[in-house]
Amino acid sequence: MNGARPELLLSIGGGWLLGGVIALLEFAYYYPLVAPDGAGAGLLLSLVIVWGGEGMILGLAVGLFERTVWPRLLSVGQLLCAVLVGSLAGVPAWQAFVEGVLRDRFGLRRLRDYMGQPVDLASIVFYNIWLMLIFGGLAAAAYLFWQRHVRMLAQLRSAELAREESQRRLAQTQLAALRARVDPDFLFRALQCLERLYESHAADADRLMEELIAFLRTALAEERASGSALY
Amino acid sequence: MQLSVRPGSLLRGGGIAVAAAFALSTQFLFQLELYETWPLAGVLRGWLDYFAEVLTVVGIVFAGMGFVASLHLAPGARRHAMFVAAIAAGALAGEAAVLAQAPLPPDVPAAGVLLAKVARWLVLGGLGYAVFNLVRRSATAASQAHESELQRIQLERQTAEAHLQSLRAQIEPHFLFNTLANVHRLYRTDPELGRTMLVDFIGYLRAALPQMRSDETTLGQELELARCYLKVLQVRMGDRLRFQLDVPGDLASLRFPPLALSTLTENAVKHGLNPLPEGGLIEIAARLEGRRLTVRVADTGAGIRQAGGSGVGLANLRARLAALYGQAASLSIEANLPRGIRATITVPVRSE
Repeated sequence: MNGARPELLLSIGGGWLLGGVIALLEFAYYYPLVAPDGAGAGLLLSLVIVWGGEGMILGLAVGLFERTVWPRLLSVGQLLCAVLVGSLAGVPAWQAFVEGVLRDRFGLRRLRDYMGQPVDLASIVFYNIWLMLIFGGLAAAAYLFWQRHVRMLAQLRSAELAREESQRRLAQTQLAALRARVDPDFLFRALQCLERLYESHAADADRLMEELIAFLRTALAEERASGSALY
Repeated sequence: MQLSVRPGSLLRGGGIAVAAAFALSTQFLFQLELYETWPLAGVLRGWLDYFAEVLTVVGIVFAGMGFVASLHLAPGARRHAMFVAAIAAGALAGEAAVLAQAPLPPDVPAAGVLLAKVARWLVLGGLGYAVFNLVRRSATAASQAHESELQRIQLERQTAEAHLQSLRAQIEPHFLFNTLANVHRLYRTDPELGRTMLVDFIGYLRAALPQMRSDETTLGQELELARCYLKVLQVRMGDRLRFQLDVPGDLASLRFPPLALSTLTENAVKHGLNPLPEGGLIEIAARLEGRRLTVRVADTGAGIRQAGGSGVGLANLRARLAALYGQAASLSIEANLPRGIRATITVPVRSE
C-alpha cells in the first residue's frame, strides 16, 4: 500500500460503495413508510443509482485531491475541502443528471415519486448534501487515517529492522574489539618481569621471551584469521 | 471483573458525545420543506427537540462503549466485536426510549423503523469507532517508531565507541614482534643495548596505556607516546631514523584525539623512512592558530608515490576525526618538498 499511487478508480469505487451503504440505510428506513406493494426492487435500484452516483463524485473529489498532494498524505484540512467540494458540487450535479437524463430515458422512479405528497427537488438536494457531508466525511476520515496507519506501520517496521541491524553490528564490533585485544596490562607486566629477570637469570629470561613471542604470534594469527583485524 | 474509568476519559467521552450529537442533529436544519410550513422559531425549537433525541441515543451508545472500555479486555477482534455490540445495543435502547417519548403514527411499523435507525447508528458508530482506533494506533506506532529510532542512534553511538575502543586497544603487531625479537637478539649480543630497548618499550607501553583507556587525551600525552615509539625504533634503526619535536610547552595540555599522532608517526616510519636505505628525518610540529590546533608530521622518506599500504589506517583516522569533531576537523596529506610526505591534522580547540 505504501508507495502505491492512489488510483482514481479505487476512490470512485469506494465512493460508490459508500453511496450503496447509504442507499441501503435509506431504503430500510423509507421502505416501511412509503413502499407500495411490489415496488421494493425499483425503489432500491433508484436509491442505489442516486446515492451511488453522489458517493462516486465524492470519491472522485477525494481521489483528485489526493493526486495533487502526492506523495504526501492528505492533511485533515485538505480532506475536509475534498469532502465539501464533493458534496456541495457533486450532489446537485448528480441530482440534475438523474432528473434530466436518467429519469426520462429509463423510466427510473425515484423516492419522491413514491412519496404520497410532492417533494421539492431542492429539499432532496439539501438533505442529500447533509447525509453526504456526514457519511462521506466519516468514511473519508476512516480512509485517510487507515492510510496513515498503514504508512506508520511500514515506518515502524523499517525502524525496527534498522535497529536490529544496528544491534547486530554492535555485537560484531564488540566481539571484534574483544578479539583484537592484546591485553596491554598483561604485556606491560610481562615485560617488566622480563627486564628484572634479564638482570638476574638471563637464560630463563631468554626462554621466557621466546615463549612470549610464540604466544603473541599465535594470538595475533587467530585474530587475523577471524577477520577482525582493523588495519 | 474490575470496573475503573478515569475522570479524564469520562470528560473526553462526554465532550465527543455532545459534539457528535450536535453535528448529527443539524440534519434537522437541512429539511427545506420545514421552513415553508413553520416559522423560524418553530424550526429552531424543533431542532432543539431533535438535538435532545440524538443526544439521548448518542449518550446511551457512549455509556455502553464506556462500559466495554472499563472491562479492560485484551486487544483483538473480541474487543472490537464487544464495542460494535455496545453501539448496536445502545442505539436500540436509545431509539426505543425516543420512540416511547414520541410514538409513531399507528400505521407505521415501529419495528422496521427501529431496525433501520439502529442500522444507521451502526454504520455511523462503526466509522467513528474505526477513525478513533486508527488515529490512536497510528499514534502508538509513531511513538514506537520514534523510540526504535532513538535506540538505533544509541546503538550506532555504542558501535562507534566499540570500534574506537578496539582501535585504541591494539598495539601495532609488527612493531610489537620486531621490538620483542630485537630485544631477544640484542640481549644475546649486546645486553646493554637490549636493556635500553626494553626499557624504552616499557616506557612506550606506559604512555600508551592511558590512551587505550580514555576517550580523549592531551597533545602532551600523544607526543610522549610518539617520542617513546620513535626512541624504541631508533635502537633498531640507528642513524637511519632521526627525529625532531617542535611543540611549544603551553600546547601540551590541549585536548587531542587519541592515537591520531601515533598513526601518522607510524606511517611516516613504515612507509616513509623504512623503504630507504639511508633513512631520513621526521619532524613533528604543533601550532595554535586562533581556535584551531594544527599538528604536522613531516618526513623525508620515500614519498607519496612509493608509500605502500592500502591507506586503511588513514581512512580510519579520518573516520575517527569525523566522529569526534564532524566537519570542524581535517586531515590533509601532501608532498613534503624536496621529498617525503607531510601530514597535517587540524582540530578545533575545545574550551573546557
